Amino acid sequence: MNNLTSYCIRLYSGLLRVYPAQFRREFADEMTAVFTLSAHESSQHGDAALIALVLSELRDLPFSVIREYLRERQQRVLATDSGGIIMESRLFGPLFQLFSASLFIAFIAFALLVVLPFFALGLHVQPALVVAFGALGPEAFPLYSANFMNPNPLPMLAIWVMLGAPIWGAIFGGSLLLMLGKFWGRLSYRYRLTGILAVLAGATPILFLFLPIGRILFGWWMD
Amino acid sequence: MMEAQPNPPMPLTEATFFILLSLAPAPQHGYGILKDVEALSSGRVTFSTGTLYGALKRLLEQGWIERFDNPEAAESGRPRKEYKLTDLGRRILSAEAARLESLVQVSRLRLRGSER
Repeated sequence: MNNLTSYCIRLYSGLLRVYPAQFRREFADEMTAVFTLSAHESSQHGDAALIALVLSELRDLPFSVIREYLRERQQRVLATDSGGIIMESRLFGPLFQLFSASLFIAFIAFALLVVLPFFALGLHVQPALVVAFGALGPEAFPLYSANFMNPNPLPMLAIWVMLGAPIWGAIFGGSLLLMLGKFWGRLSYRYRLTGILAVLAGATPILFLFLPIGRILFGWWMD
Repeated sequence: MMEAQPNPPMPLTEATFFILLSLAPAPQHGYGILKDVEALSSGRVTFSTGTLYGALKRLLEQGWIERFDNPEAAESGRPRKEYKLTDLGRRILSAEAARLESLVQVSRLRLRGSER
């Protein structure tokens, strides 16, 4: 097993911690074993195949994690005690708080990166994007930094830097919030609706930049 | 475990259908299902491990599949977990296959008619 393969397996095994505890207890060992087999197979086709495997897992991870939290939450809401009182106090476990906090921070960061230049430049999307991509580095995005009018779709690399890096970076940042579990627990419960609205607001630029539906909805608004 | 559904939602999702189909001939472990689904769909359907185990969990809860330890196939000294179809899962898979078959038959008849 080469270093990259063992590093990827360790990384994957560590990332499984973001799943709900019950799901993790039931499936984490099996998932690690399956990923290990997949990683060994991919590494035989070269490092690029292994990295592609890891990226595809990372791409799906947020969605499957959120799905499992929502499913767990739904089951807890359905499970009532003998007096018929919904056991809501357990809905916001520390890992859910960590994950929601991380996503919240990531989306806010992303929204600030794109939305602020957007308003600063008088609601012109394309100049705002030139500023945003330019801020990330013209060497990484020479084409999009110089001229965003290019009709080609954004390369995967750009999407990963713009979406992936803030999200995964924020997950590590969110671990700080785990240490302040009590504090954040109270806040997240009290301001959960505000948080959801803020995340939606942060997600709006992603919607209309990267998905066709966004272009249909907001096309009139673009330059 | 949740109570098995008496009237399962039809049609099944493609992912569910392929997972049940991969378990139809014999029990499989997670990696086996992953590879089998890829082969059955000619590479069109590929699961991440998170998606696969989310689907397996749901199917376990619905009582369509069962998990068991296979001591003959040990991993790190522990028996490997494998999955198999329950009778309910097999009935649901058969019903879905019959539904798809009737769709194909109707489509073929209609297409042949339109070619005349």
